[in-house]
Amino acid sequence: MEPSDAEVMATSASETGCFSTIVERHFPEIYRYLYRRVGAEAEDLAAETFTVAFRRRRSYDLDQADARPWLYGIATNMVRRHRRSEARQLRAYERAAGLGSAAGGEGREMAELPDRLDAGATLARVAAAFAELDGDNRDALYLVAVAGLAYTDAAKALGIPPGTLRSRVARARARLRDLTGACGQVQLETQPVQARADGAPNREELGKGDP
Amino acid sequence: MTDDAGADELGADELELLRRMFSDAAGSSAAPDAHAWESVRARVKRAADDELATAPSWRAIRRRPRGAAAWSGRRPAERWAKIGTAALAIAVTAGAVTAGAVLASIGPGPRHPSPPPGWRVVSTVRPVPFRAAPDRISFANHVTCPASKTCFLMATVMNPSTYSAAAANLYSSSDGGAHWRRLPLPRGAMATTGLSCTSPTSCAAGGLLFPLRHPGAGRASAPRNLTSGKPVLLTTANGGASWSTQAVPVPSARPPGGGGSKGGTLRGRLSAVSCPAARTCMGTAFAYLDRPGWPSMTEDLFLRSIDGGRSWASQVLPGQPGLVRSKPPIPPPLVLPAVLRCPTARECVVMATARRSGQPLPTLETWRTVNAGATWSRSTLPEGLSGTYSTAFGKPSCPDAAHCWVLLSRQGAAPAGRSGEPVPGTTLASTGNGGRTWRLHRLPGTGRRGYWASLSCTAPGTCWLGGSVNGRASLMVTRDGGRRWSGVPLPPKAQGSGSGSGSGSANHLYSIHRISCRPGGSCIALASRSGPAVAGSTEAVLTNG
Repeated sequence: MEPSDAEVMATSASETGCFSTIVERHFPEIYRYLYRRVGAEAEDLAAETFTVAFRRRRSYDLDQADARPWLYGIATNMVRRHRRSEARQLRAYERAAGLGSAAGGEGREMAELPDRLDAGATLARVAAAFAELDGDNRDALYLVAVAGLAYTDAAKALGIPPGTLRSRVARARARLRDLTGACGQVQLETQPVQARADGAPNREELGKGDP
Repeated sequence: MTDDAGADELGADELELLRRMFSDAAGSSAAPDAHAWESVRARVKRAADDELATAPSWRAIRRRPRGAAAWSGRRPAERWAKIGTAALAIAVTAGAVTAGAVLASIGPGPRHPSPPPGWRVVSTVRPVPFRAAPDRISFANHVTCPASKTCFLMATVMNPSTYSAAAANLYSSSDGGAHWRRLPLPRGAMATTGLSCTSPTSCAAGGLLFPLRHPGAGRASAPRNLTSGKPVLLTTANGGASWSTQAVPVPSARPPGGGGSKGGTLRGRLSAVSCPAARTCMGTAFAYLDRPGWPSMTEDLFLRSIDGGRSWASQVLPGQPGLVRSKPPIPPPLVLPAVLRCPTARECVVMATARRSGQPLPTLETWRTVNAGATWSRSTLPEGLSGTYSTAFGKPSCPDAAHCWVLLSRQGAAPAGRSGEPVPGTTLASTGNGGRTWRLHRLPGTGRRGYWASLSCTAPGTCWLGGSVNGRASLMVTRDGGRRWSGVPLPPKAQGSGSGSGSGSANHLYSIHRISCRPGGSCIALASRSGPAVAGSTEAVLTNG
């Protein structure tokens, strides 16, 4: 049976090489998280995340079998120190959504164009609204809604009580609705997202569109 | 479970919008590519190295698992015992994740986003013991600091009348360069080239081993005939307290038609050494026929050892002719002493000036392997310099396996009234794809009497540049890949109070001719008060650590 992250972390305290197991397991996910939040700086920040994790490995709470919340926490701290990059990335999303809606659809029917324009404009509004959120609330919402962490795990990642996490998510959600609603009610037909038993969204569903 | 109600409370439309926004826009770029993997592995490896370097002793490291329990009040000792079995299983089953494996994936690492603290002179003329006797000049060929305060240095003592090497010595400092002590080499051995340290205790260097009838070898006076030595790899595992020599098989073949003493003696030498891990060393070497005039045989080799130099695998660099005989004065395609950088045990970049048949001037060639020499890719640096050819000036500085920077010299131009000699540091070249393509960069101006002589890059876009601007020691740094350079203030002790701009002014340092920076941003620099020779005598050690 594959050892848990906690077991690997425990071993890595003395056998430094074992830490590479943590890197191999979680680097793609943490990289993806950072790439989506800060864009091109993700490579540097993801590497730094694991460097910091390595240095702090002896303080890892061995009761936590899964190291992902801990790694997300370090990565989120990196994002906090690069809010400008995050803002730039969100502006890029906003532009991309707008451009994407207007870009020519090769092989698509012209009849689809209004729908795509509408969807693109909606995404652009969401991007703009997400950028408007308070940083802490944005972190909370992202970890739960996009990274797919359970509330307890997201709270651990951010080092806050679950209740605080819930409040932040609620505030973010309300603010997001306000901001997008101000530009017109969000109307996008979507398939219902399957929730996991632990309350987090289904990871396969969230990961749709990933390589 | 209410705490874990999770994202379903958000509403499917919001969730879907957010998910779509991030996944659509990021697209496939959100997956780490090979470079990202290289980067993270190299940086974790670097952190492991740093930890090892600052550990009190090997024995103490081995005890750490038990000691660690005491470091955290939350972690009772029995928990460590409980996980002991699992830990052992991990160590065995995860095979590839031993400390050695991480060490083998060494790669110099992270950029340092914050500017360094101020620079200071930690050692000046008198206390620097590697300064030679008055009738000799010495210069440091290599300096490297495997830990923040532990540095090693190789210095060559030259005979000023003949400008030939009289001896080369190794030194170490345990206080960041303030004090140096000479390291004892085996009798008959002399360090000649390359100095590669993987930790404060483990270093290797290229050298020569002379027959013992030369009693001075390895001491201040050296054998008169330097060519009589046999190529060896010098290694230490105790911080330089003692060294061992391992023979290096150069030349690797018998010359065609015999290579006896009739036409001269066939000799070999290591031209560069790079050790990415404690017992894994790579080298470039050349063989030549030792007789008056131009060497008429050459064998340009890449060598690799994974057992500390006990055994070697060697191969002729692709495109090079191997051991051939030709009549002087027209040499065969010739690799001049090469520079080598191996960020990992499998990845190496070799740079050398080579002559291709039919071309009037040599070109700067790059070889790169990513599989320990099984296959190679070869490229030529763009010239862009009419009527001159380039040579690599010093080792390429490679913050990772893909990114390398190298200072180029132009040959054929007439620098400061000394025609025919290389002009150091006239151009900077960089590659972001392991040498497949190169870009030339404009360097900051140095004035008529200036030059750039040393380079150290700690991240793909972060490089330190040392040299002389208008006859004064100067240090620049770029953090955007060479687009902008900013001057680094040097202490008044280095700048001096005099207004002279030429050599010989007693109040300031003329140039910084070696610099070596660590990923954390701490650097050591060697400065010279003499000029304009690039390799002037070392007069001061500066650090920002």
